[in-house]
Amino acid sequence: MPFDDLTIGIFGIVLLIALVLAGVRVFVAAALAGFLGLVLLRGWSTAVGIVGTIPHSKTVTYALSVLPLFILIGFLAFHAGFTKRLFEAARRWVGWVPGGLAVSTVFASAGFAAVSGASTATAAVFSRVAIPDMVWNGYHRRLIAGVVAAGGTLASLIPPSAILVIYAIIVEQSVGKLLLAGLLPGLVSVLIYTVLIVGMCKVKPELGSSVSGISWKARFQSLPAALPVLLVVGTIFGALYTGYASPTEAGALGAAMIFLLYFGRALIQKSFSSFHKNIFDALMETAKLTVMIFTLIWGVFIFVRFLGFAGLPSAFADWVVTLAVPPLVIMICILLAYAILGMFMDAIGMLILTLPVVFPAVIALGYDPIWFGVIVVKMAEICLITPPIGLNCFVVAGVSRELQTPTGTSLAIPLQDVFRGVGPFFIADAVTVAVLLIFPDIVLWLPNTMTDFG
Amino acid sequence: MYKRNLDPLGRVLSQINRIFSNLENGTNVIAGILIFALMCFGGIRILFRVFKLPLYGFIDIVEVSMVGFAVLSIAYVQRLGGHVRMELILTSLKGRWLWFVETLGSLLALFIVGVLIPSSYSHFQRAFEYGDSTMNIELVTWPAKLAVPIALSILFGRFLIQTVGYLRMLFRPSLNPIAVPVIQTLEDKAKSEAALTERQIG
Repeated sequence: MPFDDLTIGIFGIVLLIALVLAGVRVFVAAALAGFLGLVLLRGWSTAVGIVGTIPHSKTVTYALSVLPLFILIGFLAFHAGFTKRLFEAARRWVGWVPGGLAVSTVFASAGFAAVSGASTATAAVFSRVAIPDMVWNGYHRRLIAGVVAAGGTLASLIPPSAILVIYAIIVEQSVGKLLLAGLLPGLVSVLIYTVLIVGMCKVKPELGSSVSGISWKARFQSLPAALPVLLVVGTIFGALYTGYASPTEAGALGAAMIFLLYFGRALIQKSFSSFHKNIFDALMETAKLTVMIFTLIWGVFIFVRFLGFAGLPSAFADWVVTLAVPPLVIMICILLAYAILGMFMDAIGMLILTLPVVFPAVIALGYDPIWFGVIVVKMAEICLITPPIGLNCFVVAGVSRELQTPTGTSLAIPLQDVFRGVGPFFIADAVTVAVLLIFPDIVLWLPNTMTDFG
Repeated sequence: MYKRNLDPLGRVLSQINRIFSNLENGTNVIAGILIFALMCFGGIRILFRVFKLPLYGFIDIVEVSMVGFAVLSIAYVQRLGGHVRMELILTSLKGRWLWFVETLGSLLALFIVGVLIPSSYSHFQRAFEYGDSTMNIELVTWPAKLAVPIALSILFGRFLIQTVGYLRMLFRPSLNPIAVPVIQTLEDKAKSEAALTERQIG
């Protein structure tokens, strides 16, 4: 053999990067590079024998069956129609602070994120719900755009989060623990966003005013609207925390509850034709997203098998450990690399592609696998609001173009204003990551006290 | 909307595409139904637990049936251009160069899927011959394993159609693309996201 295993491993990575850059579908690129690498390492017939088992064995595992259910919850959450009422409840409860409507948007986004789990969808929904209200109250357009785009990113940490499940599967950690681990960091993000908005509006009151004159009676009247969300989240969370149900069962229960809520709403409004259509659409979209993620998983696992044969992840981990730099510096470098990579790549693709090599190194450095999952998902989310492909920003700019005041004035917010508006929130996110780096217990406390289902 | 002025190859391609699309849509409907069933089944399982009733084989049934939403509709997603890829360079390419790179990508996909079909088929064959079954209620696993080469064969067909579609564009870039996913710009993606939410709020 003219090359040693490690060199072939590096060739494989170079080939994979070249194929991905050339726009080849990631699952094709990973499976192809992995297969060719295996052929070089072990010969054609062994390689063929290995790759054929992976699409089945790596996807058909019980732990992964939670994914479509969480995705379904997200699609059904749209239709169950509690976004407007959530925003109204948040407005009545937290609207009194400086920049009250912006803070309300953050709270309502977090509430909706808890059931939807989809960042861009959350940003799109709240663009419609919150932008007109904030413009009407004279809020600065950059603040409006920033808060709506950044609010969407809360979705991936607050459970149920599909991306945390994917992380758990790739690095073989407990799905339940990761889901719970996301909750407190999600709430910390909410808190830091709130402090940021209040601070900005205190210094520059022209950015956004507070909402006054809301009675306690009006506040309590708005609560029932938020109850379904609390019920669904509480059920999923409680079932996971107490170990009463597996993530799949908790996901099924959550999805069934939202389905019944929507069914009840259709019953009251007598809107059955749209109910059927929306359920069908939600299932089709869920199936589409599900198979897309599963395909990515098995494609990358073919590549991972090759990397394992080449001994690359362990060699990389050994090398990282011998570096004469403190682990924290290496961790910051890894996070920066993710921030840059995320500017050009879809979050799920980025995680699935990089984790097989990065994860063993991070563990060798002594970091906790659950903690790293939350950090890395937060990084992936930050990339949704950074140029050039921060999709949430495009969504906000896109939706705002369609919005009008009753008198016909356009509420459009240009893309560059959206990107400028998310600037402060980007800094707030960097602060959140720093807080989680300094206080890892924020991430680890809940999962360490839970009863794991097994 | 271009159908009236199609070239002969375009017409044939569009017809094959339409027939094949029905098959792919069918697989996605099966996947959707299975996801709905999983939701109901999981809910029932918890109800059973609340009332302390036994329900055996939940995990086994989920594991055998989930291939229906994990793999089966893989070609449906490929038709819609839904499988993740990085379009940074592709979006800067125009005309023949774009179609050349797309054709190449499609041919590579044909190769690897072509390798995976017989390979996953022998995985099924082993399970069939040795009577492989699940842990608790001993369900046979071969139907789930057979679903993989079937899904991959449909995917192979889809890539074949797309390769012809790209080659057609490579030789005559002035034609309208048929049976190939067209790259969405970020604005388009934002628009479709916006359209999705429009119906639900208001």
